[in-house]
Amino acid sequence: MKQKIQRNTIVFILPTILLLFFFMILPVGESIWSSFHSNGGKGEFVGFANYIALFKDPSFLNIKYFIRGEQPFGALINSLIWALIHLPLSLGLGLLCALVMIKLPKLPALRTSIFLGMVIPGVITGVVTQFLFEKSSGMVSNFFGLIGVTSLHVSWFAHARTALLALIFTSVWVWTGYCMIIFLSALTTIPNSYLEAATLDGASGIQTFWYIKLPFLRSSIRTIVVMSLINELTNFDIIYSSTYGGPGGASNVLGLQMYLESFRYSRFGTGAAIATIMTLLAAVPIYFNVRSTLRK
Amino acid sequence: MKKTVVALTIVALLVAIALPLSAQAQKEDVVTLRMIAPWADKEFEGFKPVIEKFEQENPGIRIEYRTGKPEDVATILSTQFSVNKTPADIIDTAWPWYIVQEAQKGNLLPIDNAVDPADFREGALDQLVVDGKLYGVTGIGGLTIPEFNAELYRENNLTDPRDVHTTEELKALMRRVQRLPGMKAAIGTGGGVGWTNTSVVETWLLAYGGRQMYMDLLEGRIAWNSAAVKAVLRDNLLPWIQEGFFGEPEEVSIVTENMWKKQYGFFVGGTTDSLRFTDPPGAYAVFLMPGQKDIVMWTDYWFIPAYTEHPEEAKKLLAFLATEGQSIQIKGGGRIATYTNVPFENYPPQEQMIMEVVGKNGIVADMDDTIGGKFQTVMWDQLKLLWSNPTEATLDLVLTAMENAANETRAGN
Repeated sequence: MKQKIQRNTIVFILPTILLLFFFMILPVGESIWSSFHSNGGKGEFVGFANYIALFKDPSFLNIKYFIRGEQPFGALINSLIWALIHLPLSLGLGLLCALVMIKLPKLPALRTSIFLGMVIPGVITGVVTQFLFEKSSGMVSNFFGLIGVTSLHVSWFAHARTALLALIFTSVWVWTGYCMIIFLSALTTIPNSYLEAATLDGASGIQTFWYIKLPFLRSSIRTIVVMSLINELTNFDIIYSSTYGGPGGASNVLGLQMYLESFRYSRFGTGAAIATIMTLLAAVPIYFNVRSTLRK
Repeated sequence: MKKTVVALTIVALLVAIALPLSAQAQKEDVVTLRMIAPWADKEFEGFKPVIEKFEQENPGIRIEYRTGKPEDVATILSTQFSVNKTPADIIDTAWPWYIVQEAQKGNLLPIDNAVDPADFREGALDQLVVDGKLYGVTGIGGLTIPEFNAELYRENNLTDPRDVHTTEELKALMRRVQRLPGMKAAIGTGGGVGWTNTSVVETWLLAYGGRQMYMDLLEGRIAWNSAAVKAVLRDNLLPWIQEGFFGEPEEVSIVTENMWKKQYGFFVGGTTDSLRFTDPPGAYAVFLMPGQKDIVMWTDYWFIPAYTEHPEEAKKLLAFLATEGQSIQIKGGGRIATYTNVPFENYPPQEQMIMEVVGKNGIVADMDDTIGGKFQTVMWDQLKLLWSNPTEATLDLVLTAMENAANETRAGN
């Protein structure tokens, strides 16, 4: 019986394995293989030359300027900065929105408006936000002008010091809705008896949140962290349609750099090397998430 | 009921089989050529008569037109060419370097006998020759030139920029323009796309560095970060940006619109804008910077992928587009022909005005379109940095980055 089950199992999962192999494993493998071959000529095997050249390229990694605090920092550092700022902001705002929404009576219009960012294509978001951050007519830029912060009353996308931040804040707006929905569904699973018991025992709001709600939200937080990090390290569409990585590479990120190397400069080996690095970076949170899940 | 359903199903199946068969039979009588070019809206209205005339003269050929920007088309072509396919039989591009690059890879069809190079502006087709074979033709183009709304100056009793003779006079005029109510800045700055800043740099190089310096940069005989080039930009462009003559970047269609609405004194744009600004007549105007003797002309280019299924028909269309097609297309306005046999009378009044301003001045090729590759992307990107932080240190950084990119591009890396 055990043998029969194993044979049947293989038969049932074979189509999925084949699909995964031909549409994921094979292309990824080919991309990694390309990264070890030269850009021009007949694509000779060059080992790690593409990777070494990449780490020496200031458009990819510019430590000298990063230490000075002057853009351009390079695509790798910009992507890491993006993750460092974007993740806690979208996570925090999403949680805050969820905690507020769960207290309010059902307001589908409000929830929809917060979630709207996720359903608008990234390219459209990039085009629209150019106007939001413009000096003459932009809501964000003029808000800062109104409160007297003249250094931010500029066209954010036109200045090296603000271009990346404008894109990150745009992305936070997009992802807050996603985080809110995930947290909302987790919060609804908390048994009322737990919350009532906490109230009866005299727990404050913060204590209730920390000792009762947060443990229930752990797996949601893990999911959001993994999905967010993958997005932050691989994003492309918003940057492509708004700043195109400028000015002067100040808002260049890994996804855009990979596109430029492959499709604008026809340097497929270098583009594949960037893709491999992006995959390895994105694999880190996935590994920890899977490990944590398997331990449970 | 059951018999009715069965009968209807049989009829539907027969129709479903018969229709495609009949369409296929029709298709075999007519060759359909797929064309990709960037024109839409008003510009496409100007191009439609060209398609109609060709189809009229060639009843066995039908043209299917699709809009596509050069950067988007280049991305699609790189993947399709790699499997010996093509999305179109004839394609427009603004980049001669792209034609050279793809011809070297064997992706383009040589078109040697399709046109006579002597019928085009001097040297127009030279940059499209690879290993002695011609791989493309020029189409219509436009001039990179400062443009303005003459009514702004008339209404405020200011000197028309066409009557200004020195840089100091122009600066003084722009200072007065800046102080007018409702003005955003003296000079509009295009945001988003990077070519608007390159237009300014090209114009300034021609005005203050001269044709020789421009050509030396174009052909790699002088470095971008050489003392001579740096001096021209440091002494003549940086002060304009530092003094605040240039406004905050706005999306390019908006900045030209605002120039027309008299919110900018002028904008270094392209003569294709004459198509949009026709009312009131005579208000749209262009001028040359003091000391400028040569003008940048950018053109569209046509090429045929080697993987076309209809090479002879495509060559026929290409020859038509390069010759008679230009004569028709320029009637719609907004463009200048590279085909020398186009009668001056075919140009609308706005273009005739432009040609008079241009007069006997020399024409030079567009810098970033000609060198192309990584240099083009870097030049677009780095100049945005210069505008946002106009210091000598930034200028050094920008020029060095551009020189490195130019060297890389020329080396074919």
